[in-house]
Amino acid sequence: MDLKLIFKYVPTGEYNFSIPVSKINSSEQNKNSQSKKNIYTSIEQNSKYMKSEYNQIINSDIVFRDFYITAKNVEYKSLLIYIDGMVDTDLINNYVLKPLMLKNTNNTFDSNIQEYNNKLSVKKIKNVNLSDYIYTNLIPQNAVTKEEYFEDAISGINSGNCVLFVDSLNISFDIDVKGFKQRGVEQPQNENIIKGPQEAFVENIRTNTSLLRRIVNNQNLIIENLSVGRINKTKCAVCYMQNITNSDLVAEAKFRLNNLDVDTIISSGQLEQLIQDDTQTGIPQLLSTERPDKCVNGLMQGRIVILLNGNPYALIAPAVITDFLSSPEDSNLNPVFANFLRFIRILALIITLLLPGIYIAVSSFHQEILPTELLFSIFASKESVPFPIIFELLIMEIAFELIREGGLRSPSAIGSTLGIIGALILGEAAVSANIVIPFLIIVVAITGLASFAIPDFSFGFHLRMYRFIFILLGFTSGFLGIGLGIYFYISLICSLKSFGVNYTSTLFSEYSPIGLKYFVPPFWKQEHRSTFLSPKKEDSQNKISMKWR
Amino acid sequence: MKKFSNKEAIFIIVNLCSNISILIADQIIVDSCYSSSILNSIFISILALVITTIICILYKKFVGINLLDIAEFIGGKFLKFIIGIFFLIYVMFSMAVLLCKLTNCLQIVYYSMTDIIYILLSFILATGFICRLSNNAFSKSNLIVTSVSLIAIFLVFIANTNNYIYNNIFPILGNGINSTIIDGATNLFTFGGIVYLYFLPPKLNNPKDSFKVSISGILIFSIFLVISVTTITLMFNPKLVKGQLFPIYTSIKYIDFGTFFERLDSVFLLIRVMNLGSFLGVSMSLCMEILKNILSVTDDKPLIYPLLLLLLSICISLEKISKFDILENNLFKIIFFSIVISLGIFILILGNIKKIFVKNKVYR
Repeated sequence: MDLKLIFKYVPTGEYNFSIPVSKINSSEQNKNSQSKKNIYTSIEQNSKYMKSEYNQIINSDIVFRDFYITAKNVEYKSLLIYIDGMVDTDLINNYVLKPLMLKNTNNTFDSNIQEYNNKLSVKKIKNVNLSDYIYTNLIPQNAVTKEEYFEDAISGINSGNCVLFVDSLNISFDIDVKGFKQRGVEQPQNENIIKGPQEAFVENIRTNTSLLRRIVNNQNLIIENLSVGRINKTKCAVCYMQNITNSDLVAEAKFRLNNLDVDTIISSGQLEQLIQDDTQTGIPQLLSTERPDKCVNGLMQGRIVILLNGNPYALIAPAVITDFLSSPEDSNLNPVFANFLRFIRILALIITLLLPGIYIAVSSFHQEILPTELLFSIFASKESVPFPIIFELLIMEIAFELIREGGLRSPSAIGSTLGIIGALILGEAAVSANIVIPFLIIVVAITGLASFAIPDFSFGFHLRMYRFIFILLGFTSGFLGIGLGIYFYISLICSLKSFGVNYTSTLFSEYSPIGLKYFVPPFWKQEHRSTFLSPKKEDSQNKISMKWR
Repeated sequence: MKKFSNKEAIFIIVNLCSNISILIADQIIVDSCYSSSILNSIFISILALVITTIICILYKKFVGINLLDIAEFIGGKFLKFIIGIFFLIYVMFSMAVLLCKLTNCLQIVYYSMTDIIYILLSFILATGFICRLSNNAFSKSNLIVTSVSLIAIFLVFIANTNNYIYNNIFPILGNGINSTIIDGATNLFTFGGIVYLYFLPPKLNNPKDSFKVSISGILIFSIFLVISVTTITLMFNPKLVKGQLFPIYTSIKYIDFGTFFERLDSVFLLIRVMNLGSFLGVSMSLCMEILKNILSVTDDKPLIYPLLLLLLSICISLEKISKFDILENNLFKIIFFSIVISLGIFILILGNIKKIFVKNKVYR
């Protein structure tokens, strides 16, 4: 091995994922567009169709507003459809209906008129296009699209727009007049940090994309819109930096999102399950975050961010194991402190996963590892407890999980009290009643504390689940079971991929010792982007970033 | 085919050698050479480096193909099949011997009430699960497990410094130059990982790096071997080493960090269990590859089950043999020298000769 390579920057390797061969042929792909129904030229037919689609007789909040537009001195029957409660009524009244209905000089349009009252000459228009005329002159709105199909018009109405049908036109106008009530941008609820931005995503996708835009502040941020779910057609945004993110990664993400054959998707958790590589292990392979700054950090590294309308969580792909043990706090702290915290989180991972299993293995099979005094103390307290050690441990672990779940589901005012009651009274009572030994309470409490130190909720959850497997292995076969379990768990982690990227890419860098890349270097030393993402732009800063020195 | 990075390949070689070393060879080296065992371990390390160099030189004309392909080039599919079976025998045998050795130890120390078949089954099932995983998981996990094992051995070496009896290395030539150099050369079987060198080149991301990888792997293991043999030699009277389960395991019992950590031997066994699991995963994947090659099948996953059954049956058969030590001392060495060294190098030489004669023909 060339020693120089150990210290030298390594250029990107090949981004190694493969898009599976599509089973959907082109004719099937075209089927969707073919099955779309064209809008009729007759307003009566359009009205009838839309009323039938929306079950207007029984649906109370769908508004069908008939009126007339005057253009070219001819009156055209028109229909405006929207959902009450999802639109801004002022916008509709003042900027849609008013310009369309008022018979002023603008809409008493006659193509033969060459001069207006102010004597300015205008070019004579022989063949006026009504749809263009309405689009350019009569709807003073910034976001208007012409739709050819009923499906697209309905999708617009469902998302809070209003749709205008005009007699004799086989298109409709989708006008953005959204005005539903929504939550404002608030502090993150589940990813709190001390130093750093205090904004979190909300349910509205457009607000979320604006939060990203505001931080990125660059035209290379691409936000592509897709819709997922056959019934609810939830809006989904794929965000990436055009000049940084690997094009294959973007293609892979869009390929997966475009090939979801499900009726409904209402949460990012569902979407995560549908687009991640492995669904059996329970180990998260996509980062889920409510923090825009974390997303922007991912974007700048060359990852993609997926936003889903109606959900305050974004998905970041690809994600590797070290991402789940990193906190947004790390980039805001001095690297020495950040690395200390990262080391603590590694300890937390080991404790959460293994401590109860090791405890049961040591107390059942390998007592010699404990100091004699401690061993005597444990066995002395064990004498008054009638249950086997596995029973004691499972009781306490399940009780702890109950306290945690109860604390989460109860109102916030009671939640903290419940935790204290659970931890203090239940533990104390269990020891007094000779159900468990005091040492076990310490083990369970440390394990519980350690599990709270894992920054990612899903990752912490999988550790909690796997902990029970290690408890059983420790109980049945001591260190033999624990050893084989650890080896299997490491292999399982190593077998995973996230959007084609090895889950352990940062641990097994070819040119640095195992695990070293988990620790963050000082910001001025972060000259290159992660090679496992194969970004288009490898350098993130100059060799000498502090030019003032 | 999923390929290995250079680091993964190096640690595969180290893992294959280190398991043979810790579980069998260290004891045999110290037992046969007494005070000259350190010298012997250095000598066989040099010998292994020379053999590795020869293999790599002989491989120069066959970039990106394994030994079985070369055998096919020489004598067609029949020779390929025969050579494949021989190598399969060696790998299966080494797996079975090491597995039996550790399971016996585990049973004696911790699970005296448990039937050995259950201990064997736990290893075999774990190997089966790991070989089912995709993405060459075994090679990456081996990187972690072998690193931990190397660090553990180094720590044992450091932590026992106070207990060393430096007189144990005298006389420096032990029982004489004959037992150290001539007879001692048979201890080369410690470097069982050499078998992987024959199958490594096509599995590397960059097959041209195979020389660097092979030499690095053997070199790292040589250091590891010298450290572990030194620990045993300096810790125990060489004449008393034979009767112990694992001398390295015994040496850990003497380590104490104050009054808190008094007996860390079970931690060592935990690492050993992981390391043997990794050895079984790597070896089983090699067996699957050999079998896949000689049977010309596209999917090697279904081959796991017959191979695991075969391994279990060999282990059970070995358990029935009362003179298990003879297998370690003699049969292991005979199989290693006849298959891995003689047969492997012979095929490579034949391949090179044929290559000279048919140089006008294009092969791959």
